[in-house]
Amino acid sequence: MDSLVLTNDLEKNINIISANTPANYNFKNRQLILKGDIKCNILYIIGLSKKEDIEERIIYPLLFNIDCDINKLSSPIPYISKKYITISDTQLSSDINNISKGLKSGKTIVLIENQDNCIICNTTLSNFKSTSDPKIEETIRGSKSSFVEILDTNICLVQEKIKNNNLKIEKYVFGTENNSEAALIYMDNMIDTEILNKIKNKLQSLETSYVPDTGYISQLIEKSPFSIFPQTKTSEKPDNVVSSIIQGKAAIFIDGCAYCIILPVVFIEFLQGFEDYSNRFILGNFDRLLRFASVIMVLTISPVYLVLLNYNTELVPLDLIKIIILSRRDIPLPPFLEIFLMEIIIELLREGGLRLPSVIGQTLSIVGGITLGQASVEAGMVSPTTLIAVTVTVLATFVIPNYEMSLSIRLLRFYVLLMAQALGFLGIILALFSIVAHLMSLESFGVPYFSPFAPMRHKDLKDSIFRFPLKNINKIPVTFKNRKVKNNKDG
Amino acid sequence: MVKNKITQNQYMFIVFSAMIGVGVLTMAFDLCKSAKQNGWIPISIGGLYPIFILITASIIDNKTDHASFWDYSNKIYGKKLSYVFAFIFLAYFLTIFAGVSAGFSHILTLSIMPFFKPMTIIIPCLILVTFISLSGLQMVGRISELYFYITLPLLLVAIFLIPTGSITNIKPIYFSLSEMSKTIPSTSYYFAGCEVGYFIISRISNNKNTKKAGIIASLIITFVYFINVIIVIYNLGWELTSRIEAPLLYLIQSIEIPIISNFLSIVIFFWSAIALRLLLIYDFISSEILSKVIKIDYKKANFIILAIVCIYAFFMTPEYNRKMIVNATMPYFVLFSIIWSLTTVILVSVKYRSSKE
Repeated sequence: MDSLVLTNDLEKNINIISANTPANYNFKNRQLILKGDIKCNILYIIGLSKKEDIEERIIYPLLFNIDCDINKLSSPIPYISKKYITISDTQLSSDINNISKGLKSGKTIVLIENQDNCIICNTTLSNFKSTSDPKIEETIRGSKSSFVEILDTNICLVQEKIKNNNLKIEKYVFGTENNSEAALIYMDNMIDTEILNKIKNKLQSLETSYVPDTGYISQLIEKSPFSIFPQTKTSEKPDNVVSSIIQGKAAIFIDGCAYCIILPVVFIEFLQGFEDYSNRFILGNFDRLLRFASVIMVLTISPVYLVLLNYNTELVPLDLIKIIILSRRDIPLPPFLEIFLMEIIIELLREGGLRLPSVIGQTLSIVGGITLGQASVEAGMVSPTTLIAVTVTVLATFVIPNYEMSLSIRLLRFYVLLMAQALGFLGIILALFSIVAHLMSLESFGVPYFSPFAPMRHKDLKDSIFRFPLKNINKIPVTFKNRKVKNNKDG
Repeated sequence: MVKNKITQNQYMFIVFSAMIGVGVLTMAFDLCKSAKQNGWIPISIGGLYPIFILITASIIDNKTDHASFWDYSNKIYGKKLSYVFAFIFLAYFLTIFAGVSAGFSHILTLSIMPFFKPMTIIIPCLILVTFISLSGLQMVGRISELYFYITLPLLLVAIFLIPTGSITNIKPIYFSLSEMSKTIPSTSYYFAGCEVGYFIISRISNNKNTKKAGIIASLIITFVYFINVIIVIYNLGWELTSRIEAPLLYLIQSIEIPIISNFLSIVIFFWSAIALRLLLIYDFISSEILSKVIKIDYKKANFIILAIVCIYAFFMTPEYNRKMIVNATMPYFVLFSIIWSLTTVILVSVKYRSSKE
């Protein structure tokens, strides 16, 4: 389609621009008569543009500062832009699409009679919102600020932490209907070109009508959309994002979203906390080990308990089996249903707590948890030992620092539980084997998801389940450096 | 997309994993029958078999400039003979595949799953490995590599039993040529499967020293076998060992740890990973050979292999049947693989030298 351009006819120009701009009540067309009876129109959208800037920096100088005859100038538009408009960011254009886009993002258009181009002045109203404490990624150490819904503010938050010429910010527009602005941020000298090209290709080929959140982009660009595991990482903390960018990754921000996505990622990252590096070496490692153990606990506690009750009672020591059998006396439900129902109730409480205001949500979780637990035991529906197994599982899920990964692991425990019910210990073995195989088959923008374990990258093991002292950890993991890896011919 | 490149390390671990299966749990029983308290000597000498096979694989790979099995086989033997040899290898691997499936189900029913029928154990395992194998050689390589590190402590768990044994159980140490000549050939069956090296060696991306990788894999497996056999004999004595079907399991059962009343269950739990890894390797290699032999898509071949192995394993399910089939076929397969490798090395040296000139 040929792009529309401005003509010398002012009325026609206004009509074309109006036709390509939402004809809402807030679309403003202010008419001026400049020196020498020259007609001028100022177009802007109320609410998106900064009124003070339009009045003081555009209208005032145009009306009162012009001291020459505009008709005698060879190219009046550039001259006016340079001499009278006191806005720092101006642009000359005759392209209607460009003008229309500018208007929709809060810019002001200056049209002058008999001229086939215009001045686009950046008068965008900055809805600056002060940063607040992170809500999901709470940490004891590290920065306390989190991202906001304004793209420019978020970019600034990253920029002020990386004062480096290699920091690149590329703007994108997603969604044919909502034209949401987005930014891709990376360090040019850190990120692997192959990975960067893959990310850019995916972003450029992204076709969708509506993108309100980074979660949409994440799902649209990842390689395995049916996988239960997240292939990008969401973060609300600038320091977390900065640390990822410095490690050779990229971040994508969307206007109106207080989270960004980090890519590419590997599985082990989801179990690593930002604080691990700030804490002392031994404490940091203890926390990591705890998280890793918690993943195994979430996946296996209930299934193993079920198998021990259903199939292999002989494996439990006599003293312990006595306690379990006594606690299960007169329980009408079979062990599988008992565990399954408790797990579902816990999920209901979790989901219910999330949707309610934080104070009510917390109360619901505590009251619901305690009351339901106690009542179900007293009513003889659930045994106390089952309750312990389920509660420990739930506690372990809270140790996983990433919310999305925590959800995935929670859901996977149902799969392991079903397999355990069907095939006993073999079911657990097969379920775990298949989960590991699936993790190995995943890729995040060309990076093996289960690296550094598969393929084994010994150098990166220094910062995996355990971390070595900071001075021994590589700045950029080999995993995110495809070029080097290719030289080593790693598989 | 099927990814088919592996690293040299992954090659080493695949070859190692292809040899170690349920045999290690029962080998002391077989060895002590003929070699008595010196059962550990033939298994150490038997380690020469995989070294020979993997060195020849490396020589063939280097001489043919990393040509695939099919390329050099067609060139030196012609198409018809190549198909015949490929078919024999396929039968060889299928026998191991079905044998391990049946053996694994036998060990599980013997230890922690007495209430399951063998086929109830075998079928889910085969279905799982079939689906994983669809991802190709890269996946097989990655799983072999990772599970090597995870399961190595398990393979050496017998070391914890050193303090409880008695040196008199392995004495007197003597080397009887007549006894050893009876036992040594049969030990090569425990190393059967290293022939997968012929099919995957050309897919190594960093093939700097494949000979070394093969020798290391052989030495590790020989060491694992040696340590397990000698500790079993050291603890139980040859007479008891030759009467218990799975002496290593019997010995592990005696290890006491708090809370768990049966340590064997933990060992079997992790041992299953070793068995599944092995099944995966044979599933991949059998499917690939089948896809080339009957010229069908690799994925279709995978499902055909699944059906074949299910039927084959069904006939192997009583342990007696399994032992009978494996003992009857394995000597011929091993003999074939020795003759084939020697002939191929000679022919490759002649044909490829002339083609280079």
